[in-house]
Amino acid sequence: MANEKRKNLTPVQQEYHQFEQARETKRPVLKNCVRAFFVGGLICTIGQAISYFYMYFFDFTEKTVGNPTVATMVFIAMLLTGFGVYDRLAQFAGAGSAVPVTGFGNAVISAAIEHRTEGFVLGVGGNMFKLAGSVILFGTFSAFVVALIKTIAVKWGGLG
Amino acid sequence: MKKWFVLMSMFFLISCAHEQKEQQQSLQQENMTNVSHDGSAKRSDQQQAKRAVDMLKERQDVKDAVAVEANGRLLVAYQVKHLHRFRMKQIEKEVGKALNEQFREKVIASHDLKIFWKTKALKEKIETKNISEKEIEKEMTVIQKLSEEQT
Repeated sequence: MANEKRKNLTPVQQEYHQFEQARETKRPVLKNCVRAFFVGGLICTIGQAISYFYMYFFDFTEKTVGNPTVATMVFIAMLLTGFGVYDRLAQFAGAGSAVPVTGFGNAVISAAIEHRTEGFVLGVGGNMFKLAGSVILFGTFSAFVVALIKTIAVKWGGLG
Repeated sequence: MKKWFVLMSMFFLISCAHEQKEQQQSLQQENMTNVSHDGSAKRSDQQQAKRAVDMLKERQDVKDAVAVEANGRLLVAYQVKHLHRFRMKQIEKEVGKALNEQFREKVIASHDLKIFWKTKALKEKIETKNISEKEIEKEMTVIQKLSEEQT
C-alpha cells in the first residue's frame, strides 16, 4: 500500500495492516523467474526445432518458416490444454508458459472448456476469445502504432 | 539418491559416445557450426564462385559461404556468425554491394539457412554427378525463387 494512503487509515486499520504484513507469505520471486526462464526457454527451443524441421523437410526459408511454426506451436498447446497437461506446466512455470505464443492457444482453449456447459454458441463461441480477444486487439493495435512510427521515420525522418 | 546420480551420469556419458555414423546423420554435417574448407565446386566453370567464396570468407562476421555459378548468374549463400546477426541488414547490404562491384555476373546473395543448404546440396551435386550447365541453371532458378519468397 502506498505511504500517502496509509496515513489516511484509522489506528485499527494500521494495526491490522501491520498484522497482515507480518503473516503474509513471501512470493518466491527469484525462484519463479528461474522457472519461467527455463520453461520459456525450453518452449522456444522446441519452436526452433520445429522451424528447422519445416526448413529441412519442406520448402520454407528462414523468412517464411515463422507462420507454420507458430501455427504448430499453438496447435500443440491447444491439444495439451485439452489433455490437462498445459495447466500443470503453467502452474509450475507461470510467465514462462504464458508469454510464448503457446500461452495464446492455452487462453483460447481453456476459456472454451470453461464455458462449454453454457452451450456451443453463447457459451463456447461467445467466450472463447474472452482473454485471447484482448491479445488480438492490443497485438494488432500495437503493430499498427509501430508501423505508423516506422512509416513516419522512414518517409520524413530519412531513416532506413 | 546415489543410484539416481549414477544412472543420470551413465545417461549423459552414453549420449557423448563418439559415433561417426551418428554424427554424419545429424544436422551438424550441414555445417551449422563448423567452417568448411571449400565452398565451391572444383570445376573449371566455377572459377567466379570460388572467388566469391574466398572473398566472403575473408570477412570476420561470415561463418561460412558457398557459391555456384551458371550462365552469367552467381548464387552466393553465406551464414553470419551468431552475435553478428544483430547487424544482419547492414552485413547484407555490404556483402551485396561488394559482390555486385566485384563480379560482372548477376549476383543472387542470401544469408538464409535454407538457401545455404540448397546451394550446398547443388554444389555437391555438381562435384559428384557432373551435371550440365542447363541443369545447374534450372536448380538455380528454383533456389532464386525460394530466396525471393516473402510470406
